[in-house]
This record gives sequence, structure tokens and C-alpha cells, in this order.
Amino acid sequence: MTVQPSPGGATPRTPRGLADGEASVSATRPRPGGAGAAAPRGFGAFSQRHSRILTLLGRRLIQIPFVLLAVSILTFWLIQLVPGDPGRNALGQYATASQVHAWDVSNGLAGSIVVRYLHWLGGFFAGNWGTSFVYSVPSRPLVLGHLENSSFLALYAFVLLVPVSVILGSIQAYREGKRSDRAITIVLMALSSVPEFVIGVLLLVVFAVGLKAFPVQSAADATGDFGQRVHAMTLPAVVLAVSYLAVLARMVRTGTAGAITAPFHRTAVLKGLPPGEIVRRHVTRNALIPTVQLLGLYLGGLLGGSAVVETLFNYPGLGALMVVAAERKDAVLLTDGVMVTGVIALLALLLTDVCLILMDPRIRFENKDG
Amino acid sequence: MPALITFRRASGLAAAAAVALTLAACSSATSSSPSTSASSAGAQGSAAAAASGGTYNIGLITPTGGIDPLTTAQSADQFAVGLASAQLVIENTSGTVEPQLAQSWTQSANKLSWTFTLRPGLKFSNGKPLTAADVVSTFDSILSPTSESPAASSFAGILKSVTGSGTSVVFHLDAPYSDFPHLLTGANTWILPAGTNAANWINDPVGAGQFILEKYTAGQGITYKKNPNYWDASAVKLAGVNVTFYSSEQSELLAFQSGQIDQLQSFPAAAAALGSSYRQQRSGFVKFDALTFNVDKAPFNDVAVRQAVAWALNRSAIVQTVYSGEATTGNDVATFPDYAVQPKGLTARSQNLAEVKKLLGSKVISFTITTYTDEQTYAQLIQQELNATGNFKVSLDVQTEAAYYANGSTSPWLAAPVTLTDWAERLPSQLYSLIYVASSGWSASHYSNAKLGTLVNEFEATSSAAQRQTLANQIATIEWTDVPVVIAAFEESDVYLSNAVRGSFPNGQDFPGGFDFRGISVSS
Repeated sequence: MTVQPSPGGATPRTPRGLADGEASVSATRPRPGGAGAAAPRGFGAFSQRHSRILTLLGRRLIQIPFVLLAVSILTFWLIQLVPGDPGRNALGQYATASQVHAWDVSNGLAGSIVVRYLHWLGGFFAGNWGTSFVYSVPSRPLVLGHLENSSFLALYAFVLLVPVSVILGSIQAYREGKRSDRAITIVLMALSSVPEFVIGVLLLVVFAVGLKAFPVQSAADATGDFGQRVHAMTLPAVVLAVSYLAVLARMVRTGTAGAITAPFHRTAVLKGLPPGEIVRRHVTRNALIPTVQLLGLYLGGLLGGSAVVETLFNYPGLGALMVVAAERKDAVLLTDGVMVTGVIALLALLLTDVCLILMDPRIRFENKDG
Repeated sequence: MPALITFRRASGLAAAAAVALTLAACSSATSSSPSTSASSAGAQGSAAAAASGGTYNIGLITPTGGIDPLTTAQSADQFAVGLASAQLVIENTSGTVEPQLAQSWTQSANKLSWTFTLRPGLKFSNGKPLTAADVVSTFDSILSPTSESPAASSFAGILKSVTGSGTSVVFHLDAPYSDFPHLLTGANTWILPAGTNAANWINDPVGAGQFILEKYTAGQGITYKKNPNYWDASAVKLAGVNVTFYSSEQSELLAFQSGQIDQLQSFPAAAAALGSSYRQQRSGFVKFDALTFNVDKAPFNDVAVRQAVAWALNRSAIVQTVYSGEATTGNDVATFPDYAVQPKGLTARSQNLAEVKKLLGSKVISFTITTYTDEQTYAQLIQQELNATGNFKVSLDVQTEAAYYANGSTSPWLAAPVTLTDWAERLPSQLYSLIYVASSGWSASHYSNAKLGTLVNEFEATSSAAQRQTLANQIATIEWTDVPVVIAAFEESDVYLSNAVRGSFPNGQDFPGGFDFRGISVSS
């Protein structure tokens, strides 16, 4: 078995999130059509693929609750290490120590951390996620509302990011080594080296303050109608998309360059397949597998909210919400938010792996038992 | 190459889709920008705006302390409550108490009680009458032994109980207190309906203020409409107020520059960025930053060292650098410049290095100033000025606000040898009890002076103007001489107003000023 080296050395071949020993991938030199040497075809391949997906799903569904439990314990405990007292913060410097203590008691912040955690845990599973003392409202609608906002923003960023990165990466691959390839590389590298908040501030100054084409803050319109929402989200979505663009375009470039120089591509051209079919069945399918892995990870992260961009644009997303919760030691709100983002990240990871199984026939699971 | 051609076509389509989406966003921006800059008021707000003085847009730092009228301590939270609430009296920018819900007040002959008479026909925003029972209930909540209200400390040792009936409310004092009406302009003294659960106020926001809180969106903003039941509703021209929450002052500055909000509370960076291109309104003094020495510990148990620090500071430079000129130099006396009785006869301290040498000789005093991030600029300037004298070697310990104000007796702001802490405007006697009394629980100086205490009590007990002036001079002399606290400047509150704003704010936009928007309107 010969291992196909990744062009550019950047192409991951192992689906992220698959635990060691759970599964592994053998990336054999792909043949025309992308099928491995011993790949079963027809109904056998279909049933084998689906049984593997079901196995993966079963294992993950068992693992996810334990992961979330551990994350919630760590979050609830670590937030206690943040300096400051929520009661003192709320009541200010003129309140007495006894008043601060009374406030903490009123807001469920006094007493043993174990008792408070168990109280929160019981409530969480019963659907009562507690009340955010920072915002004076129940935590559940607050978290889910901000999750919805973050999801819209993430999807908008993806709508901008995916086609642009695929186009740029593909152009670079087809023009590998030429001036246009180098120029795009330089621009993308330059963009990726600029922090999100710098790009964001520049966009704000030019498009919001100068041209007044977009709002400085996105909160007011983020819950309006669809047009208002798209309008409010544009600048933060562009910043998010730009921040991921360089890596993703590079990934597409690498994958596409590898695919169009592979023997199967040459064979497909020589045997006279239509160009569209070559791109669809052979180039895209092989070139985008690592990209899809990366997109899955990015999507999971973005759905959970981008703290920097959301804070900069005052966008009411989950990331910004959790920043405030962490700063103000709102353990209930923070843990609720972390649980939600944890579920999303884990599900995104699972979805990515399932997509990879469906897309990449070279993936083989090694049976631990034999 | 055929594959490339196909790819180019696909690329073109994808690019066109991306461009179309972006253009759609821009076009949405163009079509919706009027309502956005009028801002986000919504159809209802716009209609109301067209019919009257418009809808005023304000930016506030996101409230994070809970919006509870009895406990709010952050200025943004207080603003949010204050727009929908009213006090018995307010204080104008000259420091004079003015009627609000109460139309008059008198002190009893024995000076141990104050009687406030409510305006007739007062109503809350829900239409129910506001009576003396509501006032009594509000102050009972503040004074309750289980009260969590920071306002309780303002009344501790002063206010014994409150009674009332009809439109008459009587405040019974522990001891004579000439400035008592000023105390009723303090935070958390908004009158609430009897039986209100203040902790749940945000969900049932009934008040007697100029506006009615219509919608609170956690972390995003608040919408208010005019309160037709406000006692002076005809003077309120605005149809409503939209508050948008921002995560930082810088975000507010950008929003103001882009026209999304109609006013901006001044801060040093704003003053530099905006210059004179906007209308600026001064609305009184808000705070001072106190450089406080622990007089129990060497070297600050030596009054000469404390005085040397006071003489080493360039106060004019502090006013220009730290406050961008929006402050008045202080003289180490805790009396705000707008207070009715100003001390006289003291030498105004300014930088005098000869005096420093005279006090310290060739000694070099090393110490650390402990403070928090908001005070960093000021702390650095003090450090530079003191180190430049050659008699001091100063280092800084700048902490987060949460760490600096941590709960407990070992909290840095109370336990560190030298601290830099901001104090909101209070009466001189209140500041005395907070800063100059070691047992107060808020005294980082650990300073006490029995004679000073006696003078302050006499000052509050008398209503004779001449006697109050004499006592104020004596109090100031002790504070100036012993100098446990260096007060180099009193910061003013400036507000930048957009050109769309018509009228001038009658009072400061703070709790003493009652968040008063009477006479204000905005043009479309």
C-alpha cells in the first residue's frame, strides 16, 4: 500500500474527531473514480457504509453526554476563579458587606459550589435553565435567542466564505506557480495576518462611520425583518469570512492541485469524459474532502458565536453573551451557553464525519475487535 | 482546456451570487438607513416621532448589574431605570434642590423632621395614583434591615423612619441634618408603587418618570414611550427614547459619529475625536479621583510625606491630560465645586517643588499605587510627576475592576497602602463619613479625627448660612492640612449632542438630575 503524500503537505486525511482506536483511515492512492482497490460496490457498499454510520452515531450518542457533563463541571468550577464578587459588582462600592452577601443569597450565588452545581444541573435537564442575574431574565430564552443570532451570522459568513474560497483556491490550483497564484496567495496571507478586530474596525470606520452604509452596531436590526438582519450582519459576516478565507482557499488550492495532477484525472480526460463530469465526479469530490473537514470544524465554532466579532459589532450573538457572563461571573448563563455551544460543536463534528464517510469511499474503518 | 472553461463558468456564477448577496445587503442598507438612523424605532416609534418631538436615541454601556430600582449602582442601569422613574426632588447643575414629585418641603422647628408635600393628582405610568403610602413603602424598603439597597448607607445614622398620609410625607431624623433634601436626590430613591417587587421591576416597570418602559431586550436595548401620566407631561416633547446598549465607549463613539445615536457621554478619547464639531453641554460635576494614603502605615503616617505628594502634583496638567480639560482643579478638600457652601481662606495647592524639598529634604519615598484599569491614565501621570521630583519612587499595581473592588476587608481598594479610587458626587458630610472616618467600612485612609467629626455634625445641625460657612472653612482646613486624601480635580459631566437635538437639558443626566428630558426634541 502506498501512501499518497498530500500536495503541499497540508491535507489532513484523518477525519477530525474520530477517537484513536475508534476508526482510522487508510488513504490509498486513489484510482480513477475514487474507489479503493477492495471497495465493495452496489448494495454491499451501501449497507456497509450505513452500518458504519450507525455505529459511529451510536458511539457518539453515548460519549456526548459524558463530554458535556465534564465540560459543565469544569465551567461551573472555573468561573469561580474569576476575580470579583457579583454582588459587589451589582451593588457598587457603597453597599455593605452584609448587603452584598444578602444579594448573593437572593441570586443563588451563596453556598457550596457542589450544591449550586447540582441545583443547576437538575434544572437544566428539567428545562429550567435558571435566571441570569446580569440581565435579569431567564437564561434559556436568552441563550437560545443569541444562538439563533449567531447561527444566522455563521450561515451568512459561510455563504460569503465558501464560494469565494472555492473560487480563489481553484483559480490558484489551475494557475499554480503563475503570477495570479502568487498574487492571490500574498493577498490572502496578508489578510490572514491581520487580526479580526483590526479588519472590523477598518470596515466600521469606512462603511459605517464614513459611508454610513451599514450600522456601527448590529444589535438594533439583528432581530428585525430579513432585510434588516442581512443588512445588520453584513460587516460582521464579512469579517468572519475574511478571517477564515486564507486557510480555506489554501486548502481548496492544495486539494484541487492534487486532484488535477493525479493519474485518475488524466485517465478521465483521456477516456473522453465530459469536462463537467470530470470536475463533479473526480476533481471536486477528491479535492474538497479535506475542505469539508475544515468547514465542519469552522461551522461548529461559528455557530457557537465569535466573541471578538460579535463584541466588536455589538452583535447579539452567543459568543458576546458568554464573554459578558464570564466577565461578570454569571455561572448559570455561562454554563448554559457552554452546554449549547458544546452540543453544537460535537454535533458539527459528528456531521462532518458522517459527510466524510458518505463522500470519501477510501475511508475504511478498522474493526477494533479484529 | 474544457474543464477549466466549465470551472470558470461555475466560478462566475458563484461570484455573481456572492456579489448579488452583498449588493442586496447594501441595497437593504440604503433602503432601511432612514429608519435605522432615526434609529430602529420601528413603525410605531416613527409615527409618534412624526407627530411630536421625535424619538431620541441614546447609547449606554450594557447594564450588567441587574436593573432593579432599589439596587442599581452602575450608571447605565440607573439611566435605564431613571427614564421611567421619578424622585421626590432633583438637583440642578448649580447644586440646588428642585421640586419633582414633591412640590414643597419644610424642616420642623426642632430640626428632627422634614415634611414633604406631594403634588396633587400624581399618577404612576399605569394610571394608578401615587400617594404618600407609596413614598413610605419605597423608603421602608430602602431602610429595611434586610435591604440590599446601597442607598441605605446614605441614610444610615440620619434617617430614622418615614410616615405619611394623603400628600404629606414626614421623614423623621436621628439628628438634625440641614442637607437632608439633597439625600433624596440620591440613587435608588425613585418612588415605586407600594408592594413592588423591585427585583422583578424590569418585567413590570411601573414608575412615575417621563417615559414608560415598553420593551427591554436583554443585552441589546430598551424602548421607551412618553408617559402621559407624568406630572409635567406637557413639557416632555419627545415621543419616546430608544436606548441601545454598547459594549464599550469606543463603540458608542463610532455610533455617534455615524449618526445612530443623538448624544454621547463625554470621555477623554471622545473629546479628542470629536473636537468642536458637535454641540457640547456641561451638566455638572460627577466625581473625583481620590489618591488615598493609609495613614496607619509608614511612610504615610507622617503628614509631611502626604503633604509633599500633594504639593508635587501638577493639577492643571492632570485636568488637561486625564480629563481633557473637562474638570476643575481640586484642593484636597472633599467639597464639590457646585455645593452651596464653598470653603474659603485656603491656599490653592499647585505644583511647588520647593515645598516638596522643604518637607522631605533628600529623602526618597518608595511606594506603590494600587488602582484599577479605569484609573490607569491618572495613575501613570501621578507616577511620572512624583518620580520626576527625585523624592519619590512610585510603582503601579493596576488591577481589574472586579479584583480591585473584591468583597471583604482585604479588598485592595480598602487594604492597599496607597489607592486611587473614584467617588461619585455626594454631599461634603456624606463624603466625610465615607472617606474620613476609619470605622465607616469604606475608608482606605483609616483616618479619623474627632474634631473633624464634631465640626461636620455641627455643620449639618445648623441652618445659619454664616455659621455653615465658618464651619465649612474649619472642616476644609483640617482636610487640607492632614491630607489623608489628595483630590486634585473634580470631573465634570459633558454630553455631546448631535445637530438634530433641539433644546438644552435642564439638569445633569444622572440620578441627582433626574434624567430630565423636558424641553428636548429631535428634528427628523
